[in-house]
Amino acid sequence: MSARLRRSGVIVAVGVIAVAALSGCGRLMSQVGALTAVGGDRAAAVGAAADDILIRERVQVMQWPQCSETKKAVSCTGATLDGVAITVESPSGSPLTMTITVGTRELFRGDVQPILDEAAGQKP
Amino acid sequence: MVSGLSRRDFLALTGVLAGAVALPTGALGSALAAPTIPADVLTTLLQTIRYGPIARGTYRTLQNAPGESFLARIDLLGKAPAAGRAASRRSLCYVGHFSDMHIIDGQSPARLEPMLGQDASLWAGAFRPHDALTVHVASAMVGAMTEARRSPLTGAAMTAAVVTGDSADMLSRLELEWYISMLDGVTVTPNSGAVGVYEGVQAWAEASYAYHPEDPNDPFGILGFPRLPGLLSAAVSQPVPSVGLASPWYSVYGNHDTLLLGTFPVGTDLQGWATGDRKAALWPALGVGAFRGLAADASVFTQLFNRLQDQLSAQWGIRRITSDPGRRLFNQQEFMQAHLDSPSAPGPVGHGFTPANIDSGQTWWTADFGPFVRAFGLDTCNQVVGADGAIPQDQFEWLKEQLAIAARENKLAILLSHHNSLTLENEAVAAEGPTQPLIHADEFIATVLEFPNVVAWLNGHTHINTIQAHRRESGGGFWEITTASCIDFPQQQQTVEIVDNRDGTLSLFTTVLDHRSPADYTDGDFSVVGLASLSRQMAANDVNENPTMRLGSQTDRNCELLLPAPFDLSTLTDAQVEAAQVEALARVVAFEQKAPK
Repeated sequence: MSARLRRSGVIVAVGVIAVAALSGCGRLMSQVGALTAVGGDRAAAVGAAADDILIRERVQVMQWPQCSETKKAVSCTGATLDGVAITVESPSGSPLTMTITVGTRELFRGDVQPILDEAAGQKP
Repeated sequence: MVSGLSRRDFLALTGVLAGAVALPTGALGSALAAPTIPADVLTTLLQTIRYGPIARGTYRTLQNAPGESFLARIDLLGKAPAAGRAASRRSLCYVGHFSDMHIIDGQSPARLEPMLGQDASLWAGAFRPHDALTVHVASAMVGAMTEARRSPLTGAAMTAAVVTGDSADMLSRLELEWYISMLDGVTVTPNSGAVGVYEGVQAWAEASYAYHPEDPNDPFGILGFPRLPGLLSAAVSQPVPSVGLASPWYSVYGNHDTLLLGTFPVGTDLQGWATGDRKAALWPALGVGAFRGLAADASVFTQLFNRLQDQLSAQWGIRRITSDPGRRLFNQQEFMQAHLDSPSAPGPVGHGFTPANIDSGQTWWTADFGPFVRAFGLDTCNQVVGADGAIPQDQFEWLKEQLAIAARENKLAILLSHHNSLTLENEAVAAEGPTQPLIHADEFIATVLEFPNVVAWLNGHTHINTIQAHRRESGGGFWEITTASCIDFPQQQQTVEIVDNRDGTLSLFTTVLDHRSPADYTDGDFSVVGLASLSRQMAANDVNENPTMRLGSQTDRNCELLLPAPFDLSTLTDAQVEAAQVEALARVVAFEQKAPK
């Protein structure tokens, strides 16, 4: 989709939720749920920025962080060549931030967007 | 090229292929006998496009940047790859991957641009400043893909190209025709309604939410979007040629090929509105115009309503435009039929769909990409509502059955769908009537992992370059490869080549393509490639988006994706591999000899 309409159902959904709740119609509620979100943006942004940091810091990676999104919070896990766990945590909220930990070492803590902008060639 | 084939077999094969591609045997034979070397083609391996200096306000230019070489990913291999694999590799299949082309007829009444005025961030996908330039981008992207018809890695000819959905943006029959034409190499003038005149929100001052290139006294102009008098007229009056693809291409549905704006079901009122002579400039007009009262009946009430609407149209934000029956909205069957009706070259007829799909209503298919790879074209779109996807139970059962057959036949399998694993979560079912369970990402991935012959899942939807490894606990797994789009920055597509390393491993090489147009747009260049270049620059400055995120990381772009071979690949003889390469090359040679110089 134009990834942007992912939020488009919110307004429509508000009215429909009220109707559906009153009617108790499970099938209609399934349609309301479908309107509310396309996932993926936050997880993709955090994953890409985390990979950029790992490359920048020359971490030898076996498994690049695999990310999932739950209620706008993103968690990613991966592993280094020698089997040390890589974790990335990004809380819900704005601006998007993340913490990258390799084993017990905190590799990065900060905003996601500047990492993406810099990788795309944007200079302040 | 022919070290695996005996001379006798080579000559026999050349004779057969010459007949198939309608070329003289001698001409084809000498072309096929040439040594296979990596093609000298401009991809992001050699040169990329990144942001440049700010031109005005916050509006940034783009510029060329150094290329990115392949990054080896061993997530599924679990060990360092063999150092000597490059010397022994052989190509099994080379595929071009398009997705999310979003061809737009910006003058169609059945668009929702005015909703941007209601809430720009909520409805940003309803309008982009480069809406009028999508066919130009498609032409430049087909150009890039066709230039890469021989692999920059191995020199192998492209076996097939795939389009993983969202080809048309708003269900317009014209959008559907234009996308097919671009891939087939047919020239299109991307216009509807009045000849050579743009009639749409970008020319209407009251549509203050839009970008007006003639006089950008709008939110885009404030940001530094350029003043470009004559742009809209050039966009809709200039024929856009396409070189067409050199290889057969296959297509699957996207949510924009299924639902309006990829999200909403289409009612009969909207069908009438799409081909009518009124278009909304302001969002309240959509409520009173597009979605009710426009059925073509002769009732007193409808006539009265229409008369009132004429009188009040200015206040309501409705403009009269030139109607065009070509703008009618297509349905599911017409989407498949249009593919069946397209020219036989580059083919195949139906592009994956067959008359059996029309008869049965099944919107998914399978096809062999050469002798070693079987592709499965899935329809993950929800027919009811919502942008996200799922797999209906009947299609899921079919897939399991077919994957088992492919495994028994030692076929490597690649899955094609629009939605990816982050967006396979739609739970909507029809409010009434029969329905069936929907399969979502976790169950889908777990099931696919039961089939070691599945090596890749190509998809799109999020407009982001993303590569994910799906690991099997017992080892191996498959690669999920999501390509960016032709509409949002970075406007990139890709190629995927499956290579046998002859050491018990496979590598999938992903190579990202920029469309064939200058990185840096020259103000006033209204040529086709100029407009494609402008489109990318505007997409890079889209204030309602997060353009930089859609590039993905280096781990999502030019990569060598390793995995254990799912079966003993030495059972595929060199003669078989080379015969397959010769067959693909024959199509490419025929294309080159027939294409205008």
